[in-house]
Amino acid sequence: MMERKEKVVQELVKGIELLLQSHRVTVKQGRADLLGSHQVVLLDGGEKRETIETDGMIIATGSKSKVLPGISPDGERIITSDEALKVRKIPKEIVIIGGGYIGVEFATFFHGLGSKVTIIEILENILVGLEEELVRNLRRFFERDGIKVLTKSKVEEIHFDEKGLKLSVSTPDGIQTAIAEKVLSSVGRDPNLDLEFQKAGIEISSGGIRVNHRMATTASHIYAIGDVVGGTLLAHVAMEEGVVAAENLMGMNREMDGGPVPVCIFTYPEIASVGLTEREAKTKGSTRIGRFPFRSNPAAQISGGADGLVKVVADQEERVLGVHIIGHNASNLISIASSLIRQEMKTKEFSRLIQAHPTTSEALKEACLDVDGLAIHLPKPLRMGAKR
Amino acid sequence: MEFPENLLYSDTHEWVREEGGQVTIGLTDYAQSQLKDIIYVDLPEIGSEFQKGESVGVVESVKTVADIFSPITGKVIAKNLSLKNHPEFISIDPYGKGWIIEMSVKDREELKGLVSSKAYRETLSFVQRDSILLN
Repeated sequence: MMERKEKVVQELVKGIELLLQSHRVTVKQGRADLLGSHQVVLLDGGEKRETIETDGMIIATGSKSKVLPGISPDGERIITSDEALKVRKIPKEIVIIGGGYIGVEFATFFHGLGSKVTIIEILENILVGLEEELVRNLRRFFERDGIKVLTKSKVEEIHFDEKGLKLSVSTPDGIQTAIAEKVLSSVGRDPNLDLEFQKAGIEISSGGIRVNHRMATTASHIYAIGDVVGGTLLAHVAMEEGVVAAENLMGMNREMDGGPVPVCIFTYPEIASVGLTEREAKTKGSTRIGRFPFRSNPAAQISGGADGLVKVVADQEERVLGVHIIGHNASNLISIASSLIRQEMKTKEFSRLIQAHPTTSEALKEACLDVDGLAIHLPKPLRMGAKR
Repeated sequence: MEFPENLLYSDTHEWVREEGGQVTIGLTDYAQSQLKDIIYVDLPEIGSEFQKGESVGVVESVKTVADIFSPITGKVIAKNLSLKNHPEFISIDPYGKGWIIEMSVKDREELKGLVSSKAYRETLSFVQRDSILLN
């Protein structure tokens, strides 16, 4: 499995190298730092230093795993997502500290390989901020599949011995002990900010490098993109920021689009979400909700993954405000949902569009129909004039 | 189909049993019969507050997913934890072992907005005028 992963990664990286070559981009490897607002120094690790003069710059130094005090990763028994992607032997038990995107993804990954998985989250729930109905469903599937989730819980102490790790965890029900071969620390990421920014006149805020909507830093010819500017730490956001920065650097004028950003979590089953959650939508006015379970969707049934549902959050005029999916193919289905929100489309308009059969797009259409109680593949709605 | 006389009913098919400033809430026999085999019930946290008409939870059956609406305004003081492993209690015994939550009542006046067993039956015969479900 790891060999295949390496091969796929190598092929993708190789592809990017070829693209850079074809556009005649010179790639220099080494540790870089800022010397001034138009100067970068490149260090090769030895004596050699190369100074590069430049008219413009894009900084994309990314982020690194946060470390909790007292739980410092040794790369062997206490690991971060970096090492988790290189594990050669399946751990018998793994404790994952932090129930964010990365934590839950690795939970399903290791569970799928046969590890006994426990997630420990300090907050009241995992995936805080995500549509709560998706989280409740994921926790229900985790529980069914045997992935243990402890919330409002904290690792107080890790005891090392030859056999493995013994964790003492404070939970709302008192101190519990967990045995683990490995501990994965996934408690968030911090921007990589170890450059001499002041030399270039770049200001830093608490979240990362300060940038405007054009991705320009406080030094107007220097741009920064991706995790190092904070905000939404997602690859697809970083890619678009990169395009905006590059266009501006070349004299065009573009701002980041304020449109909806889909979030995909590659758990089993997948989660994908875009736009307002039901709770967020309610703060702006009354909402209408439509749901459609994948159990009633032929494509999901055929694939063998009939868990989960599509949930549509609309306003009183039936404009789509948010779409939240847990289930088969969620990450692909979400792109249609982004378009609906961007186009300010009403559920009725979308539900008149013919969707191919059998596909999971039919489930999105049915969830839109359900906003009006008109889903075709659901039993007659129970409610008569229920307030929502 | 049974609709006990000592209960009150909402137009969203919840039943309400009032006892000294608090109420027990469940789904009616009609609701469970329409949902068919119930496989999962999503219950609210104890202490959470709801307005009348807000969704307090979700019930999932083999064929659909439906909200459970709060028939009154108030705070959740208990929930039926046995539904977690036995969601079928709602189908088997909707007024007994299938109870869903207990709430404290904020405004007793709201209880007047709920209807009697007889009136609820009548709304059902309207909903189901072309059906043979009611006997």
